[in-house]
Amino acid sequence: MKWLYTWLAILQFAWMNLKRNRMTTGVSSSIIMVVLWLFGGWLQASHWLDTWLRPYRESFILYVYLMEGADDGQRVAVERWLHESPLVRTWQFISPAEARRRFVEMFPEFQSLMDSLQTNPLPAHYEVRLAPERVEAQSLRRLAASLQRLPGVAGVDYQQWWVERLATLFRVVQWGGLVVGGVLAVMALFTVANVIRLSFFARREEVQILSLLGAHPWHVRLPFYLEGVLLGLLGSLLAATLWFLSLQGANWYLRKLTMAYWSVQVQLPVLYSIGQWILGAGVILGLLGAVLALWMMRAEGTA
Amino acid sequence: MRAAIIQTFQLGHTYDRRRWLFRDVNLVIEPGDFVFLTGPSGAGKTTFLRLLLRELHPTEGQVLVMGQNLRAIPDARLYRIRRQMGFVFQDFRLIPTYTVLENVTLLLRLMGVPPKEQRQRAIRTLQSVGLGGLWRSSPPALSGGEQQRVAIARAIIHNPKILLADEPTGNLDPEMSLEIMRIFVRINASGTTVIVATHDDRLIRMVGGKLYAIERERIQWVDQRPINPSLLPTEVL
Repeated sequence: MKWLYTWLAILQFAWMNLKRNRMTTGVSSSIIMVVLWLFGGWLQASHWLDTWLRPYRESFILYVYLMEGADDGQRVAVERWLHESPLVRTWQFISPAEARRRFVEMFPEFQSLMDSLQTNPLPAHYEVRLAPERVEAQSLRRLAASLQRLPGVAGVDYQQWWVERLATLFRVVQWGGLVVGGVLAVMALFTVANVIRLSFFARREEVQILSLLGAHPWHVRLPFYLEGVLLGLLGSLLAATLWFLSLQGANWYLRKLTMAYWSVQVQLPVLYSIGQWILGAGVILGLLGAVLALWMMRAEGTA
Repeated sequence: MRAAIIQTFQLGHTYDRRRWLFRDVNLVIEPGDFVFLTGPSGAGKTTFLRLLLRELHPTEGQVLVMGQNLRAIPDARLYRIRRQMGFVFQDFRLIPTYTVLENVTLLLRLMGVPPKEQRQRAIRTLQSVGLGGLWRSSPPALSGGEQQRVAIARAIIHNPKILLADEPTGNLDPEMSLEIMRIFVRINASGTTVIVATHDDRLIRMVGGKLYAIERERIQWVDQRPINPSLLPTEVL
């Protein structure tokens, strides 16, 4: 029970201090709110992008064309390679006869043309379906190049143009978000750190008294860490609320718009677990800010 | 002779290595002593008390408190020895945004003492310094003497073995100064070692006890007189 009373006292110290410095608390939690709201937006945008592009990624097929006269040993080598590659989900061998049948089935108007040919122009090949979560331009390029080098392989084809464009799109969203988010996070971090520093200087005498009275060093430090966590939590709660309301607003507007023009209700999918991420990020941001503040003060010799 | 509660060996301190406040101090304070440390302003009285609390490290020599060499105690464990001590400042150093009760229970709250017990102990301690009814008040609303008594209550609520007071009557009138001394004598009568740094000779003469003076870089024993019986609580008499 003793530890519980101690924790309650520490929590009380931290909370009272936040209340006492309402102005700085308000400003810093607002900054955290904006940063985390953007963070939530970025996560949501990444989720939408992933959701919308998943069908495309799942339909990616890589074709490995074999040379005419490729023997069984060469086929086994290709299959072993496909079996071992983590990018490959399934594959299927398509013989020239099967390729021809499929072609005719797909384009019946060319039946007579195919019949008129003395030889089957369609090569034996493998249809390789890829694991969508691993489809990524560079690894695909490497896989294609490796297969290309195998004896008996005439060529490798995949929707390189699409893959490259998708990869670029993902890179822009991810790196753009990371850079902007990183800058904003650093801003928020220093804001929290400075609030904690101000709070420390305002309570310097109290800290000194506590220390002289025999408070454990952690009992003196913890309220400041907790203050950072509470600041982060406060900012993140505001951010999560704002994020939720923004999405509800966006969906309401979209529904209204699509109903008016197409008489259908279109809604953006909302990933509610982002709320937890926002809260978690807020707590971590607040704690890191407090750690940074105490570290800076120690380095300056003021704490 | 009883085992010393505070002992110094070749203790010396200087802030700038040019002017020494004191050097080669070998002092023995026994449990239950009432000690006055006197000397002019800037002589090093506060510094000596800060060395006893290990707020400062001595430039040379050692300080032993309750048999423990302060220099050898790691920072993280210093709180243990400080909990055996209480400290009273000249300027009271109460937290103005807290009530009297919150100021007095500051340490108890962090020590995990249940709120009911905290309150009981605080009110009991405040009563012992004559402020039983003021626990809800805010420090700025109190007089200097009352504030100092709150500070004393804060310093003794955890039953320290040693009470250090730095010019505790410096901001008080003679009548209130004597009242504060009466409280210190009563605390001392319950077994707590009391060390008071002051330059108020009148008060020293009035109270009695052991007297040390900081003079010419030395802390010297000057006098020892019995505590003035008129200041002692009736149960001791």
